[in-house]
Amino acid sequence: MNLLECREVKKSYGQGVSRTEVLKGISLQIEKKERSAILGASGAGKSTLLHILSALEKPDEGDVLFEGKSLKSLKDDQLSEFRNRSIGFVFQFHHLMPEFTALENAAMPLLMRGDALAYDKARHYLKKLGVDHRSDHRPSEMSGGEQQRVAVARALITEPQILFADEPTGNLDHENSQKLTDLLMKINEEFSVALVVVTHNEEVAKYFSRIIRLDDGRLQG
Amino acid sequence: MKFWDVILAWRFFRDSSRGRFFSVSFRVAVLGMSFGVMALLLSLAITEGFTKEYERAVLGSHPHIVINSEDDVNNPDAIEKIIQASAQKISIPIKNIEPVIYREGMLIGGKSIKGLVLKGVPPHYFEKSGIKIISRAVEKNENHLPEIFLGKAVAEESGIKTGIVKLLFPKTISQKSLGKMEISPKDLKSFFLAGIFETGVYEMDSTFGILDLETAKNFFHLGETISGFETWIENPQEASRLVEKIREELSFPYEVLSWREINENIFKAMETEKWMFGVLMLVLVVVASLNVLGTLMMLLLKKRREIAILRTLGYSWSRLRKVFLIDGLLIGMTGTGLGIFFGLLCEFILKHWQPFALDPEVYFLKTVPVTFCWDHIFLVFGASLGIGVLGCMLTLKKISQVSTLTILEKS
Repeated sequence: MNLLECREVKKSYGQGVSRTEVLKGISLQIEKKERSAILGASGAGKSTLLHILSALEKPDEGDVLFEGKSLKSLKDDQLSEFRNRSIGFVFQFHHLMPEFTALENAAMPLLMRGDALAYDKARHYLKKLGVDHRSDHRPSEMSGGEQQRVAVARALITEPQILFADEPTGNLDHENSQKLTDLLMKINEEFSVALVVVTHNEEVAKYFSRIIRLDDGRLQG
Repeated sequence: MKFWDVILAWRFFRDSSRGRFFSVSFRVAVLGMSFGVMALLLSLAITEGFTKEYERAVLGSHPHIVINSEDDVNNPDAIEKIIQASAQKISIPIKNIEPVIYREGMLIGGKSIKGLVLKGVPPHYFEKSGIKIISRAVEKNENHLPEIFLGKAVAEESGIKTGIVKLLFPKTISQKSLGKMEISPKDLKSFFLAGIFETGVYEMDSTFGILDLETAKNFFHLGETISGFETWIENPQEASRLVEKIREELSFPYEVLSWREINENIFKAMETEKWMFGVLMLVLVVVASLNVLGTLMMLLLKKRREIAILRTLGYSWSRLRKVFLIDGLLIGMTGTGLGIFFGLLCEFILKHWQPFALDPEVYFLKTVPVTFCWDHIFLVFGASLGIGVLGCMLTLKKISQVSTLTILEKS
């Protein structure tokens, strides 16, 4: 069974004459542990597709299935629960919460659940990603690379089945970009997590077993 | 709701009050709200204070129920029995029933001629009614004149403090002679000023002269006839109920009035005043709360990125609403709490140091009265808190209409 599948997904933004069709009927499947990179020019609909696959946005038409179950009929509460338990996110700008320390940021998805082991697990992941010495620091006190590692720790702490990353290296220099890519590959192998990464960087895309190319809201090839 | 949601809300709140822009606008908004709340609380406390003080003054000197007759009462014993029986039927314990005589006269002498209501009362009336005698005559009533007590304002306005008081009675003033009043020496009656009393109600202190019931009966040749009864009951708030019952037995020419009915106009005016003040001050709180609403909206807009992150981590809109509901409550509670604190502080100062003097002839009180009232605190707290929470919810609803993707891309 596919881990994730989308069928004829369409999505538009705006109304009337300013209405823009971003996705024009996308169908694809993601296998368990698969490494997929979504490539495409700016405005091709990469991020929109990622948000629909991760149940952050609902498609106008079509359906998204996770382990064969449709997400279409789920209510906001159920979708939120699904995101918390089955999905991890890494963003280009890391999006850590400035009011919280690295440890709290990493532990956040479990703290939300009221998990008593949230901090222990967060420490474990921060150590694994080499940023445990920054546990008590706030995001503003850390470098871009460190912040991104904390964001990865936060994404992994719930042991998700699939990790989505939106231009994760877009804001990093070459060295840190390479390090993060290596880290994502390691995570894929070590934690058996499927990777779906949006990138416009062909160098990064080389590491992925499957390349999904988007052009003007449609899959290429 | 999970405990973490409370911590999250607290961190957002703490962060907002610390930031550069927020530290100023947030504090100004909260301070504005607290001043509004303080003004509302104070105005309610003062208007309530006036009502209570007036009630106290009235009850301290006025009978709880007055029974008069258009004509005089010729059968006082029968009427007294009717009053007693009515009270017994509805189980209202009566403290005193006192027969009284009313006659009108004019006070001559001193600075001016002044209209006066003479009230004949039984012995120990002062003790029973709670009317204070503030000064007694030092000299003796050597001529054995009928004794009279004058109200404090009567004495002050006429300038009569001791000695003989001369009174002119209306029957000596004919319709024809109104233009050029001629007073014959035999129309003037002399009384010995035995003392000066004070009720606390200016209207009474400036109108009444009190003398002994038997003296009045003899003086006006009334025999056993009286003008009516004054009644005191254990609980003055039950006066209206008893009045209704007595009215069933005593119809015209009898007039039965409770202390509230006798002072109906002033109590109505006070009630209206209280409402007006309340509404005006509530408008002030609403205006101040709008300021807080603005700050609250800014907080939520500033937190759009965090809201989007929390959405990706698995927060549902309903759960986020709860988090920001706590923030709304915290901001509302800070403003309202401070306002209540300042309000109570002002009430305390007004009550204990009485910094503002009032003209007792106008306000019947020397200082601004303040009455602390839990109802007002709950009312004010609830109203201003409600505004805070409403603002939070409206803003969050607006934000939830924008997609998470848009928020994350823009930030």
